[in-house]
Amino acid sequence: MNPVITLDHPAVEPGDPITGTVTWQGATTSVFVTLRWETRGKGDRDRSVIASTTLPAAGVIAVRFALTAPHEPFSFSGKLISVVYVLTASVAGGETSQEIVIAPGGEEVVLASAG
Amino acid sequence: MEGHPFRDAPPTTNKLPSTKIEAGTSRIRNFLAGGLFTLVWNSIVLWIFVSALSSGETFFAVFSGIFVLVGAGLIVYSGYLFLALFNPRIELHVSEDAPTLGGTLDLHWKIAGSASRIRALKIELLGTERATYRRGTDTTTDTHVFARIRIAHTDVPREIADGTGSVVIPAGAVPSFVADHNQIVWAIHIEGDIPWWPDLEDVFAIYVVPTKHRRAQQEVA
Repeated sequence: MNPVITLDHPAVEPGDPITGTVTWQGATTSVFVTLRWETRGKGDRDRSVIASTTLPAAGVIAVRFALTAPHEPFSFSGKLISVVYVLTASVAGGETSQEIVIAPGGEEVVLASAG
Repeated sequence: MEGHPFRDAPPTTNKLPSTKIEAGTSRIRNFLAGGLFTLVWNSIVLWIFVSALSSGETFFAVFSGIFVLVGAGLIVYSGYLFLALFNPRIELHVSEDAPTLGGTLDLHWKIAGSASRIRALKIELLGTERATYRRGTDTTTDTHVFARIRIAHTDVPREIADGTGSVVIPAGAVPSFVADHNQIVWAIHIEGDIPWWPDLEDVFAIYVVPTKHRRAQQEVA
């Protein structure tokens, strides 16, 4: 069964810690958590894994994780391009993903149009 | 993001900016690329056109004549690129090679060559999204300007030839971003109006970094 990610904060400042809990049902020996950004929009998709951690999980059904948010790129949404951060947690038998906002003030930057 | 509330921002220092940056486009390269394409295009379509005429295929000759007209347009455009080779050149110095969001960037420009030919000079900072995508066998790049801030717009000969300006990079925007198919590009666009001649157009890219990143770098140093 797929694990569940519960973030302490769904949006953080660049450079701040990203913390939360991964819970699951069934048995697993470890939990693999990754943070990546990916582009969405008109351009072909780019993506890059920013951080990852492997946590021992034998005999438990939940673990805490902590990663550090990168200073850039910011989460943003433009007319052509958006950058979205995605946390993924993998256990034996399943994985799940959740979006997180990493930007100043904890709010996605919206790019308007200039004349 | 639009507007120019920062155009009159005071320079952050009395010293002239000293970091020289180069224009992202080369006039000679543009001319050579345009001229080569024009040569290849016209060689092919003229050969087809003449062959059609000599064999009496009137419909095909008329059809290929459309492409001959396009070739004529390419010759005119190549001539435009050739004349642009002789435009005055702009030397641009900035106060920082990697300015921060919310920070002030000071500029000093100087025209190398005949500055008196330029009737008006416009300098702007542009923030642009660039998205590259494939559709079938074609690769296309779309652009969208999300920030346009005027730095200078003058028709005073002395200021055109040698001037300074400042711009505050919007704190609420995003830093430069470079990926394989998607980019956020910040650049200084300079346009000079030259009567009866191709206008001066140069683009100088700058790499904008987030404020915290700069702080972190300074702490490490």
